[in-house]
Amino acid sequence: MTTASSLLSAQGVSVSFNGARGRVDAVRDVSLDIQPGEVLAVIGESGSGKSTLARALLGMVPMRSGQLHLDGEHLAADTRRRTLAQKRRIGMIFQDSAAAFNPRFTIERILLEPFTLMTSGKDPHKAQRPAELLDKVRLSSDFLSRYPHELSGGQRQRVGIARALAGDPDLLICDEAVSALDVSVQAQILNLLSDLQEEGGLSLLFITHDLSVVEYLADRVAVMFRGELLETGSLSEVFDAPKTDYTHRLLQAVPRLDDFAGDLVGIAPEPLGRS
Amino acid sequence: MTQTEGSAVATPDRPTRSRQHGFLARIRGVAVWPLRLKLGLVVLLVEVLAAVLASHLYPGDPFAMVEIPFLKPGEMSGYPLGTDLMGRDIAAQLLHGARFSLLVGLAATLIATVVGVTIGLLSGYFGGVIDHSLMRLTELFQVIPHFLLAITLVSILGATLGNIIIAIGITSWPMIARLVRAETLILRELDYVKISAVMGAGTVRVIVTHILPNALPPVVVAASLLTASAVLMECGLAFLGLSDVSRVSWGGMIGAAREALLDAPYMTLIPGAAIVLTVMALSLIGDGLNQLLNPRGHA
Repeated sequence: MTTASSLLSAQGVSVSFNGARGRVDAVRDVSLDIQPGEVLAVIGESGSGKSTLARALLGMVPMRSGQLHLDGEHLAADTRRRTLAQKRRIGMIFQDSAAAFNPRFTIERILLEPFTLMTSGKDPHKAQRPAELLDKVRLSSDFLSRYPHELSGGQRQRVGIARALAGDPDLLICDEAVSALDVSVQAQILNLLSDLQEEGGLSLLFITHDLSVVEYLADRVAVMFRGELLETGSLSEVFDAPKTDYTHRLLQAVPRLDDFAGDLVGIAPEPLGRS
Repeated sequence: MTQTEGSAVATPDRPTRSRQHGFLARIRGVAVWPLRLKLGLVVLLVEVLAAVLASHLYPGDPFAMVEIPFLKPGEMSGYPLGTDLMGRDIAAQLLHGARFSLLVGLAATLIATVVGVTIGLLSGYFGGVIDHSLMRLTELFQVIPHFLLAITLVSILGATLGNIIIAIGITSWPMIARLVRAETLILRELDYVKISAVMGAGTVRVIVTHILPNALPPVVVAASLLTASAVLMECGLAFLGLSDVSRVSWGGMIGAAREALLDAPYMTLIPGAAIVLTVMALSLIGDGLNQLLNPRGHA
């Protein structure tokens, strides 16, 4: 664990929820590092704790134990004890772009909120900021007066990225950021994220269950299972030579087009009432 | 969605009109209002107009004895609704009574809504001990029969306009509180509420800008139904002689006329019809608003 050069370093992060049937350990003793400029994909099945981990890093859910460091400096788990500069350095994009925005806010107001909350003192150019952000995600400033429900899923997700970029962050946490989108829109959003990452030297923490997205975007991969981190490694290490049996099976479980090519035989449907 | 290809700058052309419209967007456009909402609003508007014009159309004291008693409606010109047991003009009393009934209904609802929304927000947002104690308090008010509690309060405090409003308001807030609490429990878990807090928004800011406005639509519906029940409750109090005796009230009119229920049923039927009409109008409004604001549930 080299915390010195890491952008964000997490050690021994555990998150628990108190449910009706007792305590649920959603994340257990997870440690990981994100280097500047890299894309780290966290993969795992539903309920493996990958989203909870992302939310804990951002401070949206409280950690039971664990330490966070941002650029080697201690990062409080409680966001109220983080400095404005620390808050600005991590942005978050959500899966459900319908729940990500206040339905009564215009896009302009949605994009102004981070400046209102995370800027100390007066920003003389505050009024122009929302339009600048929309430009970064390639939406025209005509969208400023719109409401979230008037936008398509892909447009909404761009607004989500714009809001995450408001603090000029070094790290973007993307929680299933493209899972709810059509495949064609998915590709556009992934291209946008990839461009932003290359242009701005952003690090991405990419939470997903979609392994083709991982192959497209990730430098390194972390595999989670039942709240625990099973293995981390470069994309090729994990995908080509998985260390654990679970990772192997997880990768096997994904249907690939080339597996089917050739041996896909059509079966004519039987008419109803026969057999 | 299709114009966001590649790096081309997307412009909004044809917004996808989803069913999840904003609150204001849903209210706009009288054309799409449900019929029951329009109907209820028209009836209520007529009543408000009558209440406002009451002292204009019938300037004198509505309690003044102006003619012989037991005049049937239409029997003498100038007294279209006749006179009561004491020879007082029923039409004048009806209009002046509208003023009192509507005032009590709306003011009591305002109190109940303010108290209920505040308690519901605090309870739902903070949870834990605060939620627990506030909900026990709410239940305490819920298990006591509302009308009995109102009677007791008015008896203790004295039957004045202000006290009647307070008594009815205090007995009506639990429903609003539970409603707002339930909404808040859902809203506080939403990403936009959480990210706002993560970015540094204080509790008050999160509640006022993100939770309250989005919890309001069901409250608007409930408030109109609450007004109906507040009007009814005031009539009940007045019928029992527990309302402000210096003011005309529909319930009071019925209470006074019950001695002549068989001889002159019109004396009770006329204010009774006014009550039914008002409550019906408010219920229609509540129902219509529910349909308008909540496109998913046509209960």
